Amino acid sequence: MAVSGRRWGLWLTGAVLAVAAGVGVALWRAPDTVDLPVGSSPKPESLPAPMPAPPVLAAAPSAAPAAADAPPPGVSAAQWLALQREFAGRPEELRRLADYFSYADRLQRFRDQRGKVPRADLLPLAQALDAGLDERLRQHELSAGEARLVKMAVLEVLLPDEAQRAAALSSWEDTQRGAAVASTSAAREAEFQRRQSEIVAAWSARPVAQRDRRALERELDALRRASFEPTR
Amino acid sequence: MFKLQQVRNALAGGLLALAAPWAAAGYFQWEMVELSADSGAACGDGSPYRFFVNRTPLSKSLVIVYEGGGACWDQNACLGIGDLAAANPNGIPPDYMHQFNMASGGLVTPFSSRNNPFQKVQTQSWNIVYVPYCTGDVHSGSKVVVYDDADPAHPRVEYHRGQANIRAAAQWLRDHMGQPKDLVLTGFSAGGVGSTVTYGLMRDTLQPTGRASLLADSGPLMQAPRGSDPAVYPSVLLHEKIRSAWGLDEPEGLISLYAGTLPAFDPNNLGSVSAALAQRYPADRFSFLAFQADTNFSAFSYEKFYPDISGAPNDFIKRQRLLARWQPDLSTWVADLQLYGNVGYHLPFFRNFNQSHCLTIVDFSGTGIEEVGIADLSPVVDTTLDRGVVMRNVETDHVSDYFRPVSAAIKLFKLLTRLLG
Repeated sequence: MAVSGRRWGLWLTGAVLAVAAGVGVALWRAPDTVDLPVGSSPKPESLPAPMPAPPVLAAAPSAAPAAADAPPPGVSAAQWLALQREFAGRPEELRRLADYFSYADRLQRFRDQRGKVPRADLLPLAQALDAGLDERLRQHELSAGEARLVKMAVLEVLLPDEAQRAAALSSWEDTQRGAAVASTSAAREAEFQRRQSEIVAAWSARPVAQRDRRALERELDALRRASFEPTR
Repeated sequence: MFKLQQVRNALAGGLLALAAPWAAAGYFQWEMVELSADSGAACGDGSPYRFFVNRTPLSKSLVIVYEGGGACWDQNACLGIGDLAAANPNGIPPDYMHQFNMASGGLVTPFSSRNNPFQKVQTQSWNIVYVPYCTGDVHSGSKVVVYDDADPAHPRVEYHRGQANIRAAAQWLRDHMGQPKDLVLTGFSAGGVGSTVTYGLMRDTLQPTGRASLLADSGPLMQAPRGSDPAVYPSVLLHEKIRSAWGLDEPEGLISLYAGTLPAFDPNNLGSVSAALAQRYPADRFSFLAFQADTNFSAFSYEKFYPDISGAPNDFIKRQRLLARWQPDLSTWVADLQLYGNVGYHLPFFRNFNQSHCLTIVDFSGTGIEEVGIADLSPVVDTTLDRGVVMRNVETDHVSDYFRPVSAAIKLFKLLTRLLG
């Protein structure tokens, strides 16, 4: 259905106002969120207010949940409901979050039990964490350094021999390095370095008394602005 | 009135977030933010400055982790050459968080690791921001320098733009994430210094609605009045060098900035910044951490300035000479810190890892002061964040730490480092 420009403008204005009002009311009524570690289900009396859902989603209460209703471990029902609303149109994101929460919960249980129970009792958790590690790294939920710590921790359980453990860790890191994607920013940065070298060479060729450091800085900043458009 | 202002700020922040492509970033994922060249932000080699954000919908609080990694005021060190060099001389690539060769060997602190299998800290459930280090200036500088002392034919242009990076990152965080509830600034080594010297800048921009705290690890800004006797204030030569090299006294430099924001700061003594912060923010908590046998930060502080250290006949004597300056420097430092009721410190003696440098990397094992019943750093972190008793711990037993085993995690880390060379 075609919508005239004026009507569209009115609709947009109304929508923005509704969104603003929705967020305003939500924020006005919501106390500061209580900080809860993932993995600790809150008691009913300390239920945190859910983070305000994005306004458009908040205005569409009929949106159907995109994943199973039961919250994953470590997330309260209220928090999960808020996330379901926020990602009503993105079921894959909700699934990722559910997988993440499950992994984080396993890791917490592993950390809490580590050193307190026999190694054999930790094996199932260690195996599950090891099996899921690469996917969590691929999803950017863990940094490389963080993933390395997890790998170290699970290998401590899975491989009692220290030398085998170090070799396995080293081999895993090699595999991850191989999977890394080359930076797309390298080319423009190389070009920037080339042009910067030219400017500095010209500046250095002048007699010392004629080298104006601030002028050089301005020239280099102009080059930087010309070279680097923000990217994501 | 206060709530109305909160709503206005939240609305403004929310609309900005909707307008930004970053708003599509997922929760619990490390997302890269590249700061615009217009902001003045840059890495040491002139490439764009990038930092990383890991958001959670379950908390409004925020911890910001400042990365460490040496420092530089000469060509080779700024190129990353030598033991006393600066990290990330070629900038921060977009996939930095997914590289194993991050600064400091990829050592992760429990504050920058939401899912840490070895060490739990309460900020792991907060929003986490990781601020990489690539400017060789402990996140503080405001100057572009052409270094040609080692190879005049191929000079190194170094953008000591640490302060601009932090300023622009702070503004980005405020614009896109709004005011946090609680705020913790922490950092290790150069990041310990950086989180201290830019605390006011970050705090004033973010304006947390709850508590604000600093946990500065192994980056002490020692007392060092200008023109003082190096025999009494050994860090004075370092401070004099970096003031000039990093442009701290420039019109836009940190020291000039402090004149308008930290009334108790003495511009003739960089070491006065800690006390000045404590007075400027009396409700905040400041905790400073360091090992008494740290032979890394002490080497950066003294080695290039004292020929008896750089020319020491062997490592044992070098270590003795470093600590002969470091330990009195620490004593003078804490004597000043203890004058302020909201400032604590924790100074264990030795950890057999990373030259006893940094308490918060990998895990907190070996950071205890057993003679006063403190097993590790955890209670210091918790009392700082929870406003418990201010802890001022200095280990007097200088023997037992040599015999304490390191944790399995650190042991494996050391083994791996040896294997990989």
